[in-house]
Amino acid sequence: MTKSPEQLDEFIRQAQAHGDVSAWQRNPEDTGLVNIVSILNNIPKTDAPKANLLRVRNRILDKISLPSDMSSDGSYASGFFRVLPRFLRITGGIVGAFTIMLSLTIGTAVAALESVPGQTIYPVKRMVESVQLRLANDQEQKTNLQIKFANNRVDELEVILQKQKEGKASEEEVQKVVADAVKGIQETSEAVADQSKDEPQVALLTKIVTLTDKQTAVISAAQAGQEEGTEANAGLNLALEASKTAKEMAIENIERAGLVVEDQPLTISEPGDENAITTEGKLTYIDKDSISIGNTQFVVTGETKYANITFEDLEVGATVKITAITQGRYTYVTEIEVTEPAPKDEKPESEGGEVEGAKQQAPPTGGGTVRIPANPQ
Amino acid sequence: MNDQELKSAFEKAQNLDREAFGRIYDHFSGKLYKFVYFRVGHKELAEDILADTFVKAWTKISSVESPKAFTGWLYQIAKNNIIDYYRVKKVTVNLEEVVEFLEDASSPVDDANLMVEHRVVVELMEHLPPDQRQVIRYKFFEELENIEIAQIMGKTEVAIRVIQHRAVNKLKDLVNQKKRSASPTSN
Repeated sequence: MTKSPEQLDEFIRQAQAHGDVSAWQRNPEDTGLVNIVSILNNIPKTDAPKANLLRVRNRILDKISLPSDMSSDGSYASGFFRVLPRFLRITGGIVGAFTIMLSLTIGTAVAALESVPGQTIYPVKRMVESVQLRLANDQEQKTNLQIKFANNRVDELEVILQKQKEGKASEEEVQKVVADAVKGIQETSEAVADQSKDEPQVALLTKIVTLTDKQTAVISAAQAGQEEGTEANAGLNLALEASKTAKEMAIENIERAGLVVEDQPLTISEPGDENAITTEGKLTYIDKDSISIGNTQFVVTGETKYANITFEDLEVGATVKITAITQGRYTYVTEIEVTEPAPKDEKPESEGGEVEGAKQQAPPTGGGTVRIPANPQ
Repeated sequence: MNDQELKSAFEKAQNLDREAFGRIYDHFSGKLYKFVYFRVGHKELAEDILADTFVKAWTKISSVESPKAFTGWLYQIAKNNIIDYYRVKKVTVNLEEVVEFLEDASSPVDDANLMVEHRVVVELMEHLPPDQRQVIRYKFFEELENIEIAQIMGKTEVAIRVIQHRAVNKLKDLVNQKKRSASPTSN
């Protein structure tokens, strides 16, 4: 990623205005980006059916030319409305007022979902999140929501840091929003890690580790921009601590599930990658629909790709590398590759008969490695 | 209309010059109509929403600071009008659905005439997080400015540039991954 957001934006602007990207192609590091932007620019578009814009123009000019019949909110009282009986007008007024209030409520809430700390509307966003949490059907959904909201806090912090860099936010403003964001990170991270400990679910825990890595990276960047000894800096230290604790707890739980988490460099992952995991370890169980590493189960589907083997060749004890995607309660294998065949002495003598459809079975002993997805920066 | 002409028309419109407002309409109406049409999928309805958007804009134009802010503000009014339309049409709508309306509209991409490389990128866009996909769509398929996208999505221009940066880089990585997996030596 060689360009800053501003440089890339300028490049896109020029490419759209002039269509000439040759100047940018001189740098080989930019070739990939240039290609993507060129392709996106050249994708054929459909056109909307031709509108009668002149007729619409006349309609607008007619309306805004009307004398002061216009009410303060810009609407116009029609002659029909004026001749309505009084009680109907009152009823209409109440319905109208209710409609406007409803519209404002929904509109405000929509805007609030996109707000950042420091904006007047931001508390509404936190309120909506709180309601969503209360309405969660089960613990898993609740934890997923908490992860999502913790991600929101980090995204908000990033936006604020960017503002600070550009001198668009005062010191006082930044301190306040950093404190808000930090509090959010602390609350959500602790809750997420804590609520996952009873029932280790590798998919959720992997998300938490990814999230905490992202938090650490963003908070570290935030600390670099703050003066030592300030309130904001002290808050960031606390948040960093909370984030690290959450990560440790999550890793501990993954390890309890029989897997080992590889040490990863600090990276900011893409939100869209949160459901993808890469795992490597010894197969402990195989049946027609699923395989396991340790006691972590992965669902095999018709779309699963087998890199260097077929499903029939899979054996308990073989070391495999799995790429998988988590959806809901299950983790689906997208690709599987045998990195080391099963040693002969580890193969079971008889096929597992306890589970219907099972091909081979072995006790769920660990040995897997979970690799947290990272976004190459 | 260049920036100077737009500024002049904007200032006149703020002083209730209807003809100047008409020129502003001429400048923005085509693009704004498309924005609305792709979200409601009906020509006459899009024209109605367009008209209502400009009438509302006229009533409040004096409170807008600059032509640049006015541009984004127009899109915000249009967006709210679209949401209102769906709210009325569906009678009962939950909050999440309202948010989704602007993301689930008909595609402005001419699917029938896509070349292979176009199709690959369009398909890979589905792997982007919703906000990144939306920014790419607004920027490249509907050719909206950052200020317009920012108003529609309720974010700052800075946030839009950051999301765009992530989206393009992510797409680049996805294309590279796809090329690698398609290569016969990848196994």
